[in-house]
Parts: sequence; structure tokens; C-alpha cells
Amino acid sequence: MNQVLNFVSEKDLKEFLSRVSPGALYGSYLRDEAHIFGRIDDLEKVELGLRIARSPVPAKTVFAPLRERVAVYPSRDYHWEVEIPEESLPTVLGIRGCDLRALEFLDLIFLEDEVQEPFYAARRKNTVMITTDCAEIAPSCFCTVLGTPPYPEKGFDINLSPIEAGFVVEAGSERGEELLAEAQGLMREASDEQVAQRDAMRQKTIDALNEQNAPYKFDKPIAQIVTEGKESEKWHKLVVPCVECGACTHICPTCYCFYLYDQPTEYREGLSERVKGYDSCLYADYGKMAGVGGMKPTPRPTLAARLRHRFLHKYCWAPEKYDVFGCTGCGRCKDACSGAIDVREVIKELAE
Amino acid sequence: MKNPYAPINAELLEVVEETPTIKTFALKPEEPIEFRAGQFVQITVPGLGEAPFTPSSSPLDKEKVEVTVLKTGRVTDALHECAPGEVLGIRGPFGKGYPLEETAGKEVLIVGGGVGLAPLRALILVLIAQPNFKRLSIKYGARTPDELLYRKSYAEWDSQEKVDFTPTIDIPATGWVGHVGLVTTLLDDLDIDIKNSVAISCGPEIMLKFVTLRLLELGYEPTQIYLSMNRKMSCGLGKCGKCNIGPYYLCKDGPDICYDKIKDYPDVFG
Repeated sequence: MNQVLNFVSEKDLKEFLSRVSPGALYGSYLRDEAHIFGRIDDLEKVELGLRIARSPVPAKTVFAPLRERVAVYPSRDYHWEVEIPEESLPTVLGIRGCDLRALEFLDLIFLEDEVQEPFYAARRKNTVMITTDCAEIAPSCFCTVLGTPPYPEKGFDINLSPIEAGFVVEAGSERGEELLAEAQGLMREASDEQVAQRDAMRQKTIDALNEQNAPYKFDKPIAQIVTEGKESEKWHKLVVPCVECGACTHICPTCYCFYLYDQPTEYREGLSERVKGYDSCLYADYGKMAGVGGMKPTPRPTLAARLRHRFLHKYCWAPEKYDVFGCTGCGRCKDACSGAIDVREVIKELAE
Repeated sequence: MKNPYAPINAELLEVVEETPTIKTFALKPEEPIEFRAGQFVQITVPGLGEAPFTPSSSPLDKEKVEVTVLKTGRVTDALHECAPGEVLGIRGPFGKGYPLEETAGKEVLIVGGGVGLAPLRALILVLIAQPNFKRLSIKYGARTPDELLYRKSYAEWDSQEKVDFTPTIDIPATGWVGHVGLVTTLLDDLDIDIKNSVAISCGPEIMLKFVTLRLLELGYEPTQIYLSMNRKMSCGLGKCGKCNIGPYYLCKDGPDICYDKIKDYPDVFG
């Protein structure tokens, strides 16, 4: 890619965003002080969330919603495909490095396979990805512990790095270059001073993450710690605060498990529909198979086995299969957990 | 593009009562479904949901797909109420199927339990039709004589050249003159050239566990054992996550999988 970096001022940002966003806009904004990641109806009126720590809800939700209808049957005319016109591609704004890497992980399961997940695929391929660096961090953030930086390195169309009075703008794809051409008059080439500010901001965030996560410097690779801990009795203790609510998996940007259920449809009387919704490997029912009464077999009858399964999947089997963790270190699972189970603490406990 | 989640219509042609709790359903999908023995399909009871079944009919029969179903849950209870003429849904086939490439010139040992003989029947039928094996020895167990599946086929299978079939029941019953004991007891005096054998088993998880342990004791290597693993297959596309063992998804990499691949992962036998 052409490495020319540009600068857009804070004052021109919204005009800039409206020029580079061909269609509907989704992303990071503030509503009543809460950091939302979702549809932005009125860019003019909204306070954007590009200078703060990642949102509580991951960008995943735009590409794979909590619940959606995937089929109506038996029907020959039900139009099931997600169709996104080329000229009005939606834009997702303010995707952090962790969430972008999470989408790249989901791509491995949903896209890079014999059969694609068609709903995710349509959205993922036809979306303008505007990412942003983290100038601030949340107390649960730990991306650097997993060896990844708090800013996107690749896979974006446009990246915005917050600096004094504006943003350093970087194109990361041909689509990004083309879109930036629409906003030429609003940008100027970033000065050496502005690029230096960006680099300093990035280093400052890395330093803050390193300081925050100083207790989680491990002597061994994380995959090895979790693998070696798989037969540990500690899982029974570690799982005590878990109330099996599934919040950790629902909020996780890389969790992709779903269940399918059927019901009568409102689409047309007499037909049925199939709905896809997030599932959670912590639920007792997750792996439960057919059986009479209380005899429904499951491979993981204990909650301890299910918690272990989540960790083994994220830190051992994902790297084994894809050479990448199934975790981006965003820390949302800890924030969402009623029992405040902190994955860093779990790994630390296993390492001891 | 075809919607991978949408079932196609399948007319129910015939229902055969196999045992008090097991029925075989013959379905005619509106587009033919070609499957390999061991691959599975998802059958939809409209409006209620779907459940995975491995066809029990011969993959060589392109006209229909038969599934043999134990009445044991929400979808199977509803299926058991269905009558010929009704229209159900079907998706598939999914998975790899049985390792037919491993049977040539081998002494094939098939071990089945209960309704687990259903998927194995598709395998037995295709092996008998294309007998590339050196020998086919089938061991099958159910709790009572009433619960033995496909009783009318035993004599025919047993009479084939190079094929032997031995049933057993767990609990002694009046009128039963055959073997009594768990299916693992049929493995006690196995006259098989184990070095040149491949074992394929399907049944309840607890049976798979003890069959595997017995086969290992007898000298089978983990690479010679294939198991139809019991997991909750749903999407069939390797995406919904529920059917994993370690990094494998049984809906894609199984459901019949070599024991050597999965033996070191936790929770294999629950």
C-alpha cells in the first residue's frame, strides 16, 4: 500500500466521514455517557467514541447479529439472501484492533471454509471498515499480553489514529484509497510532527497496557499453560463464581457458536421459519443430545468441564487449527461476568 | 446460491415399526440426496425443528433415504407420530462418512449397539454390494430380543460369503437361544487377524467407550478404530460449534472419526 499518511482535523471529521461512507453508518458513539456500538442515524448530532477505550459491545454484532431469521420453509419465493448494493455499502466506524482481529478470526470459520456462512459473508465482504487506534484503555484490556498491539495493523479500509486536534488517516486497501479520494479537500498530508504524535500515542497506550498487565507476564506460552492445566483440579475452584449466564460468550468478539430453532413465521401463514441465535458453551443444554427425561447425554455435564472447554478452545485448539488465539484480549468477558471471572487470573492461577 | 439452512421437502413414503420404540422412515426428497455410508442428514419436522440422523438405507439406492429413529426427544417424538404422505424437510448430506477406503483387503469388524445398527446398516449394505474386504464380522447387541433392529436381515447377511453376523442381548429372555451379555463380550474370543483389521463401531457413548477399551486391550492400534461419535450436530457446516472434539467438528470431520485423532482430547466419552 501507498504509505502516505494524511491528517483530518476534528472540525472536519464528520464531513470527512459522510464523504467516505457510501451508505448506512454503524459504529462507536456515546449516548447518555454510555459507549454504544451500533447504528448511527444522525452523524451530525451524535458524539463519536473514537478517543476512548473500546465499547462494551463488540463490532461482531453488526456482522453477526444476536438473532436472525435464516430460512422460511417450505417456500420457493422467500428471499433469504442479504443483498447489499455496491453503491451504498454500509460503513462500520471505530473498530478497534481487537475487534478487527476478532473479525479476522471469525472469517476463518465463517468464510475460509468449504461452505461460507452466507449472512456473515455478505455483510463482511460488503462493508467499509473504518478502524481506530486505542488512545485509552479499559481496566480489563490485555491485548498486548497476547502479543498484539492496541491498534489495527492490516485488514482495514481506513484507519484513524487520534492525535491532537484531529486524526492521522491511513488507507489500508484499494477501496480505502478510492473512498479517501472523495474527501481530498478535507485532508492534508500528515506532518512529521503529526506522525510522531501518532507513534507516541501508540507507545503510550502500549506502556499503559504493559503496566496494567504487569502481574500477567508468564514464563511459558499461554497455550502451553492452558494445555498443561487441562487435568488440573483448579477448574472446580475457578468455576465457582460462574452462574452459567453465557454473558462472557455473548459479549466475546470471537465466540461464534450458534443454535438454530424453528417456529411458525409471520412471513406468511402456514409456513415455518428457522432462526439462528448466539449459543454459549457454558450452558448445560449446549451439547445436550436427545434422550428420555433426565437422561439427555452431554459430553460436558459439569460446569467446570464447560469452563475448561472455553479456555481450551480459545487458547489451545484455535492456535492448533488456525495458528491464532481465539481471544483478542479485549477483556469484555470479565466486565460482563456476574462473578467477575478474569481470564488473565485464570491463566495465572493455572500457571502457578 | 443455495440456502444452507433451508430444508428441502421430503415426502414420507413408508413407516416401518422396527421395535416398540424404533421406527424406520423412508423419505423421498424432492431433489435426490446422494450420500455415502455414515454421512448424516438433518430431518425437519416442520415448525418444530430438526435433528441429525445417519441414513440406514443403502447409499446405492438413489430413490429414497431411510432413517431409523429411536423415540427419545422432542423431534423424534413428533416424527414417530408422522404417517406416510406427510411432507417433512431434509438437509444434507454432511460429514465424511465411514472410511470405505480402509476396508479393501481387510478383516472388517463392525460393532453395533441398539439403534446404533442403523448407520452401520448403510455401511453393511454397501460393503456387501461391493465386497472388497477380506472378511466382514458383525457383532451387534441390544438389551432384549424385542429391541434388536432389522431381525429379518440377519440370516441374509450371515449367509453372504466372507460375512458373519452375531447378535447378543444384555438380559436373558425366554425363547432366546443366542448369546447373552454386553456386546463387548462378543469380542472375547475374536478370531480376527487384528494386524490386518479395521474396527468400526456405532452405539451409545458408554458402549463406544468400553468397545474402544476392549479393542485396545486386544491389540488394535488407535489408528485402526473408527467411532461414530455422539455429539449434537446442528448446522452441519462446521460453524455452530456444538459438535467439537478438540479442534475437530464432527459434522465436517466425522461423525465417524478415527480414535487416534481424538484420543488425547478431554471429554471424548463424556
